[in-house]
Amino acid sequence: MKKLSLLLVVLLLTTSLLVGCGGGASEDTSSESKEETVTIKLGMWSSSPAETELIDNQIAEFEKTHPNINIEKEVYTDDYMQQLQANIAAKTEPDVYYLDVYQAPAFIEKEVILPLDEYLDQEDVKDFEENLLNGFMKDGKIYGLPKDYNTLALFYNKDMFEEAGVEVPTTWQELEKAAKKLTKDGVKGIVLSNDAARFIPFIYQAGGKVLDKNGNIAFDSEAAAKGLGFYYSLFEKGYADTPQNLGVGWNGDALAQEKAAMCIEGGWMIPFMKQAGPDVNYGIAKLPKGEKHGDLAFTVAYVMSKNTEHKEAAAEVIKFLTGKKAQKMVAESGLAIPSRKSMAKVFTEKYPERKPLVDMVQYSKVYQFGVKSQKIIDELNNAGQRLQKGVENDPLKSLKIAADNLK
Amino acid sequence: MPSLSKTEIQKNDMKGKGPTQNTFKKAKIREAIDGWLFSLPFVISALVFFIGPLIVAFLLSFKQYSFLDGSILDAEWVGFSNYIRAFKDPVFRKALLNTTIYAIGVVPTQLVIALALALVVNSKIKGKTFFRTAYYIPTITSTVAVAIMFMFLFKSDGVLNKFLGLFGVNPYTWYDNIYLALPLIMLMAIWSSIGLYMIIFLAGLQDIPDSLYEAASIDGASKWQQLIYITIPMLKPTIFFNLVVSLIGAYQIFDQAYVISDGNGGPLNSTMTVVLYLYKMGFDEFDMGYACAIGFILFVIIFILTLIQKKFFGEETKM
Amino acid sequence: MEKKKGIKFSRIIFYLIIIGYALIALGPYIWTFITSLKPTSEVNNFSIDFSTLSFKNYTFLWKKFPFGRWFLNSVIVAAIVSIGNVLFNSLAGYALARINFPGRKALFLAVLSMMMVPGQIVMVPTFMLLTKLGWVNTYKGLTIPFLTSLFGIFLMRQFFLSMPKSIEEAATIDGLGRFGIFFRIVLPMAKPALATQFIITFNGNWNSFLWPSLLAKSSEMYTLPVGLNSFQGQYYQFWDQVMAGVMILSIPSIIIFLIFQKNFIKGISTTGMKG
Repeated sequence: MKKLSLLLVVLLLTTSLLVGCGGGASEDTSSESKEETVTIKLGMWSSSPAETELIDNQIAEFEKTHPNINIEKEVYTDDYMQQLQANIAAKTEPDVYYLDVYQAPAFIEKEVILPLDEYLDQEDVKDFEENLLNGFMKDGKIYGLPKDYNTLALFYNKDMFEEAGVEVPTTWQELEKAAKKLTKDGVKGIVLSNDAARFIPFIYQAGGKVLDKNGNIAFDSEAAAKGLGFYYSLFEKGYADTPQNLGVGWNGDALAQEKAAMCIEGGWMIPFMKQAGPDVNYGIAKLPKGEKHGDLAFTVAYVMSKNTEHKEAAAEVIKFLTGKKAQKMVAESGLAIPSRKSMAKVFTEKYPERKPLVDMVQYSKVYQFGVKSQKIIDELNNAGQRLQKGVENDPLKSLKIAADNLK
Repeated sequence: MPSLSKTEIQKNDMKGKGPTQNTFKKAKIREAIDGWLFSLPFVISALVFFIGPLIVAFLLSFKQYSFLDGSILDAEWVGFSNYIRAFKDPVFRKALLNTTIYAIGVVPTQLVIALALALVVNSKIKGKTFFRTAYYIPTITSTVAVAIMFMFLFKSDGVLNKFLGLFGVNPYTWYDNIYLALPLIMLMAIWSSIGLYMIIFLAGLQDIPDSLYEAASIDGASKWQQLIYITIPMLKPTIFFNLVVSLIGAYQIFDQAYVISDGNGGPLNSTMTVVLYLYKMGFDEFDMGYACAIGFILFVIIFILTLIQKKFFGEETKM
Repeated sequence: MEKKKGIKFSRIIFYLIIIGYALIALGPYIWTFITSLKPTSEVNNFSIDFSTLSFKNYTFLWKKFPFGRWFLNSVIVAAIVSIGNVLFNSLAGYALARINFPGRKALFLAVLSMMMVPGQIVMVPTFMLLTKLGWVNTYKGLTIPFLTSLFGIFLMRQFFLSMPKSIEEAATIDGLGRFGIFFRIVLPMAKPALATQFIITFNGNWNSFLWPSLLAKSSEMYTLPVGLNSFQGQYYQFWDQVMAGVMILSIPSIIIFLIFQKNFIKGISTTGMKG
């Protein structure tokens, strides 16, 4: 068949052609002229266009003042942990990359990231929120500088509150009352997800703990059960429901679609609401307190790979991206809260209505539970699920099952 | 000469009784060269890109290792403990059970529907191209889009529940229900893969000579008899293919479970599948040695099931 | 002739069923399209407010991202991989079905066995290998490891098994060698199988995400699915935008299907519901 042999030839030709130019295109030809110039690869997950713009601006700003360091973004578009590990195994991970606080302990323990202390000014380090920084420390050494953070706060529908004549709740009792009053006409008082990242604050508020000081499981306690019990009692009484049962994808959707009057989420709600619920008049308040205040903080740091060939330059990049100038850009973008205390003011001045998110940081613990963070989170999720699905009715028992599974 | 099949030639040759032994020997060598030459691109590709990684994965299954640990060679040997651990692990057993239920539900259903549709779009109907394309489209619709659509249809106030409500059935959010989430994933998988098996059947149907049907209708065979006595026996190699591929695919189910449960196999492990669990262990819990052991246990299970199918189809004797 | 009698009723039922299933099959696709036209705030509503529909997501995607480059990469990769597969898998499949060479049974068993290994456990070692070869972020890496497929070889073997042997045997007598028989006689007869394989490989490769996302590191090397994923946020997605991407992605696969399905020409009248 002439056609097929022709096809074969075409195939071979194109392959060889592409092999030829493929190799050439990927190699960096620009850096040879100036021998001083180094390229630092900056690894990150994919982010929304607005976040991408922020990081691009920060990089542009950095390159203005550091002509001999060139930052090259490397975006992991699939599951970040999987892609990062594949690259670590192949020793091709970026010099500097994002690391979520709950993965940090494993990375520190396995020594895939380097301590940064020798590059840091100890005075300047004090400007970072201690709670956040602690998440990236081991034995007094700092392994990552947080780039920004978010806490959880109460997002509520102002119009619904006004109509029902309800004040913004500040305690558990008030929260329950408000939720009760706001549950009507097919709207739930509050939307709550079966998610440890949402109910752990209640465990803290009840005086409970997830881990004790030595890092052992401590959530199978009366106090923790009280917090979890309160969270799920709102379901039982009919004032709360999951986003799934309200027919939406996540908590934020329920507020945007006006299917619930309150939700517990973080600062990422703000750009979301702008696009998904532009007409919803909502407010932000501190999480109500139980026995005491309690909250979770979510943070991501820049860390340095142990395989980097340009430690000094990599440290420069980390310091700049978490430095005052870059942090100010974070503050002004409003996408997340800057991790520096000195910049929190810039944030709250520009966005006064978001102050509750900043106020909560002092009561917050970072979302991290040691080397086995993921496993603990999974088991806690199941403990919550059991209560919501009615598989188990006693919160303490459900927590004990989770603790047993972790042994 | 044409009636003498290759195997017979070989048999004669083996016995050394053939009068023209040399010609046979030459033919045999020719066959050997041709066979490997034809297979060469694949063999090279498999040797280069598959065998090495496979050996690595196999070694890892006897080690305590995560990809954060650096050198694979230095990792600690743990013997069979990863394998033993799997048999004691309740979540793994649950995952295996879920996966088996999934396979039992999905494999026969999707193949029967696919065959029926292939027969339909191969017959003389109006708008054949439209129907073929329509039935194929689920195959190209992205898993994520399908998952969102299905979650939308099967949520408590979704269209399906409203319909079932007419018959007095209580509404459930299927994907958040410990009994209904797995069936939802099964429905999704069936829906989205029928098109694939349909076009394979369709291609298989092209190989059946018209003359067989003509002869049968002259003999007065009904449509049903023609299906049972001509179409299905003639399609046997295609059916075997679809069965094997569908079973392997079912036991390796990952995408749909990942998307519907947001990667964690919930609610309460009701959608945890073997590969999803392996993935979680390897990449989220930094336990790649254990993940590899699970992978090889799964391999053995599929291997045994495939051998049974092969035996059933009498594959090896057919040449 | 016999058209006018009682056939009508059964034909109506038959068409109702096949149209019904066509709607079930097309429903999510149509829904995806409509969602891509909605404003974000309307995504969760099942009803459609026609006055709010627009192509804004399409223009947004087109303007904001190097779509042309990604599309081109996808076309190059999918074309090379599909053609390679059709050729190499057919060769190997033919050998496994028709040539009686030593090691044939073992090779076939190896093909089947390799299909049974979950890809997730060999993924990282393979990636390490490709890194060592220096193929990451090149077209080489995106194509050469994928030029043959186990699925395709198995598929072709099964098709060749069910093809009548007589013609090949006649050609042997005419003195045609193996390659001659294969290219001049077997392949032209195997058009439906080749078409099937092309459709499946193209679709699989076109939508392939896992490997390209590992292997394409810089934006210039992204394929379309990787590019479409590169701007999705961490906490939530704007589904209208995602669906617009999904729609764009699906069109080439449909075109390929429409072109190649023409090879399924036989149409066995007797298995239809006619008469």
